[in-house]
Amino acid sequence: MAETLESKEAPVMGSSGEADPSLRAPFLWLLGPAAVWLWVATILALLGSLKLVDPRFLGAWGWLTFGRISPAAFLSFVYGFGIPVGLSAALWAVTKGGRLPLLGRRWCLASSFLWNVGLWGGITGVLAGESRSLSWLGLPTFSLPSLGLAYLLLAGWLVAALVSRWEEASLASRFLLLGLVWIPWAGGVAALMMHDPAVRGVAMGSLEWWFNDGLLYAGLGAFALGIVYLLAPTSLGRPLAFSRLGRLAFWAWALFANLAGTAHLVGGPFPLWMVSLGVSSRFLLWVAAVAVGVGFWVAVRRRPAEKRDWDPSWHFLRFGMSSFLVAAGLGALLVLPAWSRYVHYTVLEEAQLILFLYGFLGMTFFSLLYALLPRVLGRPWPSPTLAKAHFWLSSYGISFLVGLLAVGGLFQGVGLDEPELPIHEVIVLLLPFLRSAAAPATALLAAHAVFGLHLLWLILESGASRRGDEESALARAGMEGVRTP
Amino acid sequence: MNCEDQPERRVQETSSEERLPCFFLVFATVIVLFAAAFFLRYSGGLRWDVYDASGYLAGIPRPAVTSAATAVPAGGPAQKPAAANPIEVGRDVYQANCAACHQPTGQGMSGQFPPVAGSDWVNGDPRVLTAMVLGGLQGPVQVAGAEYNGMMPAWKTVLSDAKIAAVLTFLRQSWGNHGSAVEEGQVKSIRAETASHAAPWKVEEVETLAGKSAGKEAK
Amino acid sequence: MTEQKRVLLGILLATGVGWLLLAWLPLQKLGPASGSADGAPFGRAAIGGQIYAANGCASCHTQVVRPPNLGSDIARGWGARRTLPSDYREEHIIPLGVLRLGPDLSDVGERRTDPHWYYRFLYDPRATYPGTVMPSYRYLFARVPLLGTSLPDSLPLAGRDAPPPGFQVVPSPEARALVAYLLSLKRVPPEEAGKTP
Repeated sequence: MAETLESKEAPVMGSSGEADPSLRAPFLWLLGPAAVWLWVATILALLGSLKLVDPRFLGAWGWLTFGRISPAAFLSFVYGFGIPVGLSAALWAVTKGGRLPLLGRRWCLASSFLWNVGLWGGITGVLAGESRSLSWLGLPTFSLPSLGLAYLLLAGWLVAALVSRWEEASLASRFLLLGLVWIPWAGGVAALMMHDPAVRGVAMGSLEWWFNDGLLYAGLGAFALGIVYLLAPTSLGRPLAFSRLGRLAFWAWALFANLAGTAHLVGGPFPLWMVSLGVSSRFLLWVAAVAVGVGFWVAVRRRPAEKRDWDPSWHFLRFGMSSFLVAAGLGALLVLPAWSRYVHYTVLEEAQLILFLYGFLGMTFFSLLYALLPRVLGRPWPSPTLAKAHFWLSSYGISFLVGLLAVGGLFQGVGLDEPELPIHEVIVLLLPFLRSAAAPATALLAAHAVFGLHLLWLILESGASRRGDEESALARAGMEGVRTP
Repeated sequence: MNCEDQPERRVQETSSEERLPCFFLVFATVIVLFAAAFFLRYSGGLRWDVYDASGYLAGIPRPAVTSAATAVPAGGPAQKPAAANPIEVGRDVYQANCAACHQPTGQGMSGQFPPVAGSDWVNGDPRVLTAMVLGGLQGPVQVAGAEYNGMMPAWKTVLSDAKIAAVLTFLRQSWGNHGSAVEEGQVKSIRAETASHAAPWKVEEVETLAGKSAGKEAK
Repeated sequence: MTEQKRVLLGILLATGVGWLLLAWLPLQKLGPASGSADGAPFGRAAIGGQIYAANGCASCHTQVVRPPNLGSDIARGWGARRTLPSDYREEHIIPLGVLRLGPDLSDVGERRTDPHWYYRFLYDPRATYPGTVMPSYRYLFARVPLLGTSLPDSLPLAGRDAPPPGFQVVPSPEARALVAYLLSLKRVPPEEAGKTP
């Protein structure tokens, strides 16, 4: 398990042993619903995949039409799973790996409650046909106030805490701060502009893509990179190498993540410089990603080899970083106009998105959960076998899903480029790949089911032992005649 | 990233004379240079009305080339594509840069953008036309019997002499227009002649460039 | 200024640059001609645009015609020229799209002009194109009793799709709005773009 690795130089996650008990409830409130959302997202994604196997599957019911469940799946993954996990990473960093007690506990609970209420409303709204657009801004209007308030309640406090407990040269805090600040800044502005009827024209399109790419790179991506820096001292036994380079990479990341969105608009109704700016930014983001990756692999090479247990956190982290590097490279190369002509609007781009979302963000988040939950709950994960099953199912699921979509996308792209080939024949070329993608999607669902069960088991077990502790404490207290609060 | 990024030498942090791997420095330099060059090359002059570039950003041109290629004898792959028909090149340049306003059909938009098909300005003196395209045009202008009052941007920083010559030749020989072809050298001389004129042309100014007979016709 | 304040400020500024370059300036330069909603789509087509967005049509259809050197869009007849900002100048919903599992729709109102074709197609795409992955949008239609003669918009359904005797299938207001929107998608010739008949 993660906490077995004692590390002297680790400032944040160094100490083994239990986290402050005041942290138990906030973390569970954040992460419990996140696991449920993960389920919802995966089930919706699988349904979407099956709809492509046969569009008549589940009939013509408006709530489950492909065009609604497919955005709903992505939205519930990002907003239901990604952001709460990112917030708990920041919470973990702020409390120095759970060693400091939490002050704003009630705010955390209120925020988590509001967030989940808003999101249930929002996803239900998307399924009911209330969405305004396809992008990550697609949550219906009525859910936004609750989500915004919830985010600010928690993130405002976290930013203040992160700034006041600032650690010199801690890259983890920088990346977490970027995620914490970017999401409300950009999300707020984007939501306001989306709802202003005077905002018309193609600016709406570039606004959307600024937010979409920013949310993935500067929002959730920054959370995930913060997690990498946060976990390195325990998982690798040392921090990432080249911290000065890392700082440069951080600034490049913060700036170019904001400019990369227009790379999606190659050939679209936008001036040339906007498109080129996006393409160049994608390349610079790739450099920043490789800079982080170099530090990571150098640290990995010097990682002490004495692992007794199979450490799930480390395996997830490694998979996440590998996906990160591949996804960042693909993100740059695919938007080069020479390729973009073939691959734009094909499922190859979808493959890159899935690699980034599930391969990098998802796996890195799991890595955090595997390291964090045992310490919050005070118990090791009950079954290494389940953790292994989760890892292998999801890594195979993601690899095959991405591979199938990538190859299918090439066929689709070459077909689309051939004007003599009617569009339905192009899709016929693609269909075998889309249909077989249902199999890895099922594997992913199974993986997340395994994780959910494992988490439930852990919570129940720790709850039982905690109750036991409390009872014995009560009994002791009773004997000693002291009133317990 | 600059190459001086030596590893952090904090004693307690990394045990090390760890140096940045060479491959990373090479990779970072190449990609950063590429990104910068890409943006500079395809910035379109940072203008809001340039949508396409020809060349690399445009990818491989569409098989319109194939019709020309079939005419080439079998043993002739050594033929330079640069020697392509100026009309074909001009059509690409036009569709990329001009069609946004003057429309793919050359008909313009009534009241906003004058037509280029059947315009006396286009069919008239190539010197005036070239100067207009190089320097842009501002203010009221009479085209095909209608009054327009708009602003055409300058293209001298965006398009090369060869491309301007190609697009002018295309303009003057398409949609029923019947002007003479424009050579690259002509564009070059006009560019040199008007280099001192920074602002967009006014109709009165640009007319002074015309040879006398052509100037009359344009009315 | 302490280091953390510098970092915080830097993050805020970096985000601001993105917003300025990708949202604010394009709005000023490529946005609507005036602040009022004069030229914006209105009526049924505007509602149809919302239905287009809410049902995720843009999951599989784009509305961007790329220039001839960036794909076969024009050669396929999806439009006569590349899409330009002026095509979207007054529109609030910009469904550029992300994926092409079906044809581009920028110009579909030019290719198919019969609303009944759309109704029939949306009701059961597989009757028109066997084997297509497009789902049926039956939920946008209503089954009403057949009183006397059938309504003018009632769908000519036969075989598998036929309603029980004594009933007819008519498009709901949502389907009518969606089809009005699709019919309004005529970005070429531009003189007629964006206006609803």
